[in-house]
Amino acid sequence: MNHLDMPLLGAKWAIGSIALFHTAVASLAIGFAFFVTVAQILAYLRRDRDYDILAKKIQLIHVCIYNIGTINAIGLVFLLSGLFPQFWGQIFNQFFWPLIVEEFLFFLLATTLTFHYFFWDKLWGHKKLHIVLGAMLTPLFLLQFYIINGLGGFMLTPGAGEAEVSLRLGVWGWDRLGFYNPSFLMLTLHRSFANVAYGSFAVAFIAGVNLYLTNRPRIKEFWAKGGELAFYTGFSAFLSLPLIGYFYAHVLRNEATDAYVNLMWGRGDIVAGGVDWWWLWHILVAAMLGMSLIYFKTTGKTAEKGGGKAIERPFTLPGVMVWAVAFFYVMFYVAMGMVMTWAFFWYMLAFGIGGGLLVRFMLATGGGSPRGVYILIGLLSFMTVILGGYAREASRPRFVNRIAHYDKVFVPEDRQPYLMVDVDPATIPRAERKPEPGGPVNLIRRKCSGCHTLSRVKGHKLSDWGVVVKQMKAYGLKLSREQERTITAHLESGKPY
Amino acid sequence: MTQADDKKPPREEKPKKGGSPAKAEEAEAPAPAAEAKAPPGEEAGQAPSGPKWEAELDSYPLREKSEDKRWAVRTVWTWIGVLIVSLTFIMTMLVLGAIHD
Repeated sequence: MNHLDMPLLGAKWAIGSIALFHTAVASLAIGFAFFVTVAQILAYLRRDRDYDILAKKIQLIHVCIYNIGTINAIGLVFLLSGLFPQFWGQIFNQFFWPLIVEEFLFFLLATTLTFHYFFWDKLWGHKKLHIVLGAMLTPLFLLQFYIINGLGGFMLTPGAGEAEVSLRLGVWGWDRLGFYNPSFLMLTLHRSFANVAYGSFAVAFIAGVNLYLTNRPRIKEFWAKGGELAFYTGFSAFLSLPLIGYFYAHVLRNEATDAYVNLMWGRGDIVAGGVDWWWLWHILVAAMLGMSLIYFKTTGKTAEKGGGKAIERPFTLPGVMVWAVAFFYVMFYVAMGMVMTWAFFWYMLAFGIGGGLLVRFMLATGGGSPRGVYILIGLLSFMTVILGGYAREASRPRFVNRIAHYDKVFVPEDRQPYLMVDVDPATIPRAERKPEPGGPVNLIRRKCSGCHTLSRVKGHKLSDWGVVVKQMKAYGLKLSREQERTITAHLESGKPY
Repeated sequence: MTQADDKKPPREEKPKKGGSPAKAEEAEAPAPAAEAKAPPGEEAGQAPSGPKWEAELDSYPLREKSEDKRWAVRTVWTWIGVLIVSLTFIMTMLVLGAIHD
């Protein structure tokens, strides 16, 4: 055996489980930090202690999970160093200085968080100063996110051409081209908004649980207010995610085709145990959308006692906005159905409507209390974080022989000596590119999946293929005459691909 | 951090100069109400009292700046200074890094 391994779990699942745990915990920290600031500012503007006490409670949980997340991250680094030393050695050399800055940011975060919580009752005479201290956590978190997403994005989309230059020349310490890789922006946007949504929905979950556990009217009022604010904040961030995800998918289509195919077609580890976990993720998102919209529609107004005029409750959406958002996302899923398959659209519509009906039922049977809704949205949010994290890692091409799968840009045999000894990069012999797999089958798979899934390729009569391929060229598909003839001949023959 | 600090009764926020009378009344109103209110749940024949923080829900205990412990305020101001300098340095490095390889 020429490398270490983990008993029972194996290296992949050991890294996967500790990484998913880290995702669940660390993402919560970022979301909590933002929510606490929102709650504190609201409390100060309204002189309402409910939101201030809520912020303090959430910040206490944040202090605990920050510590847990830090220890867990150290464990993740230990595992990666031992189980994937070549990958870890390379990426830490390539991005050494940003990681040093990242470490410094973690120190700033931990200290700021500690001061903010433990000085809470000592600064009532300087309340604005205290709020500013807590507010500093959000830009600190976003900065450390900015840095780690440079590495995270590079791991999935190293960038054709640029990364090859970086790795071949041997960039140490700071690799600008590798850092600002094609998926960096989308990954940063997606994770930032997703963490705010996740953290806020987690606060709603906590509020929901406490609404079940208490009978005291004043405490119930406290948790109901907190849950309303948390749900509103979470949903506001949540709305942006499908849009960001759509553009993220476009980037992956061009820059990480293997991962894109695995996600969209259900290949590789995306399908495990007979379940397409990426589709399940989308189903949960659609259900959350439906649930949230019906929650806002139903709880938006409340009648005053004695049958008075209905008044709008705080932290709700006006009815017209609910319908506008619903219409927008139906159109969004129609577009997704056109790109993927219509089955996808019908699944999303069914679960969106189902989620809405479930919330209507829960509000009706709960006497109007949204506690069940808060708990459910928190659970679904947690599941989307876990499934999303799993899908991202499972969509990568599989590790082969425990070497990082950068077979278009990374040449392990050449890289190893460069990392270990003082070698002039110009003297490293250039490795030959592996040829693209040939044949009509591979040509069809590569060329016909740029804009839609392969399932669309199946829907035509054999005699129509000549016209269809010409139509695809008119739509922008780049094919040489030879490639066009090969593809058309294979499709007209009815042979499988 | 001393026990004495925790036991000091919180002072309600005083109305700002030039503020509207309505806002001043709103700021003042919680104080007498909070002082006169019996601890919730402890009226005759009621269930046992709730958590300690329930009694704090009806007040927003702003106080004079001089009532805060000096060492705490200085620590926080110093730390915010450290944060600003650190963030400036980090942002400068990021901008330079985006320009230069």
